[in-house]
Amino acid sequence: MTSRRPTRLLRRSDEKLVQAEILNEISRDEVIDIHMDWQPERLAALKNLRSQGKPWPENWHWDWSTKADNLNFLAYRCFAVECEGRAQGLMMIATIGWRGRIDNQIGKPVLYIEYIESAPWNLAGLVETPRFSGVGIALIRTAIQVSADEGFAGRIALHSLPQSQPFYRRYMHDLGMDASHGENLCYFEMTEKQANQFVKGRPS
Amino acid sequence: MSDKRTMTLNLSDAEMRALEALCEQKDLSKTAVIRQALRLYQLVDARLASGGKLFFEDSKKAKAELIAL
Amino acid sequence: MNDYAMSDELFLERAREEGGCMIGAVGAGLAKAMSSMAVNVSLYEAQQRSVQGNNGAGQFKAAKAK
Repeated sequence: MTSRRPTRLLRRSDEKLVQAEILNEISRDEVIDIHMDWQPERLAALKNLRSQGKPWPENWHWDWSTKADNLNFLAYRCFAVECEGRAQGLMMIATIGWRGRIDNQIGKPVLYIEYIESAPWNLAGLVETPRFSGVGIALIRTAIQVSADEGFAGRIALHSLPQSQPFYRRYMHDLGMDASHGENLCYFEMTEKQANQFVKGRPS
Repeated sequence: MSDKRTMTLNLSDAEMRALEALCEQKDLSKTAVIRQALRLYQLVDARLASGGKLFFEDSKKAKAELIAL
Repeated sequence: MNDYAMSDELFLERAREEGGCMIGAVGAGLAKAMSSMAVNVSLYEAQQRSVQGNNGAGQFKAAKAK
């Protein structure tokens, strides 16, 4: 059953923090609904990119109808950030199947982020002025909390798309290109210490 | 995580030793290990039921089919 | 159990670092699906250029050693 926890986002129009909510354990149908809600603005943004002669992927879409089926299993869970009545971001995690690769956590379970994405209107490059920032921060923080709740001590891992690598490199270990999974994707892992630094602040 | 329920689990000495060894190895509580096992069992069982097969690959990349659950 | 609460100040700092660039991570399964659909990553590259153009090259600082 979906429950809600308070969080916040940074509204870019006035640079103020606004109240938002993390929706825990959303269902397959809710995931599909969110993507249907995002689709018109995603397409409009892509059309806009094309009209400006900017590159855009012709077949850019996620196979969500298939991916959402994972939510029939206990091993997968989905979370959303909601603000102003709409989902601003979405994340799917897996709690089995992934083990730490960094020296001090080799073999220990890590929470794996299968997928994380902001709504199209929050993405620089798709829109001129993103509506909200902090979607990723709120979701990564949630992943860390779930990892801790699962007994994984805040350890998380993911494969990053090229564009997002600098973002993750700030907070996680970059283990480089991972030939065994995905294509052209870097594998990142966060330790317990890094998880604490992420939420408490790091010494500069 | 939604509300949790509590149950008593009866294990043999050998089963308890195996559970404790996994807890030590994975740095997890007994509850966490059992929950991991349940998730894995559910996922694998559903995939097998839908016609999938479960393989382990050894270090020489040779595949051997594993038993069905 | 550790409570991973984050202060407003730190959230604000992190959110500004994130900018509008946070499109995400992708699991191995999804990556394969994207590949089979001939999806390329040009959008992400375009986004990165756009963000750098909008916010200056300092949008992302160099990675710090952990």
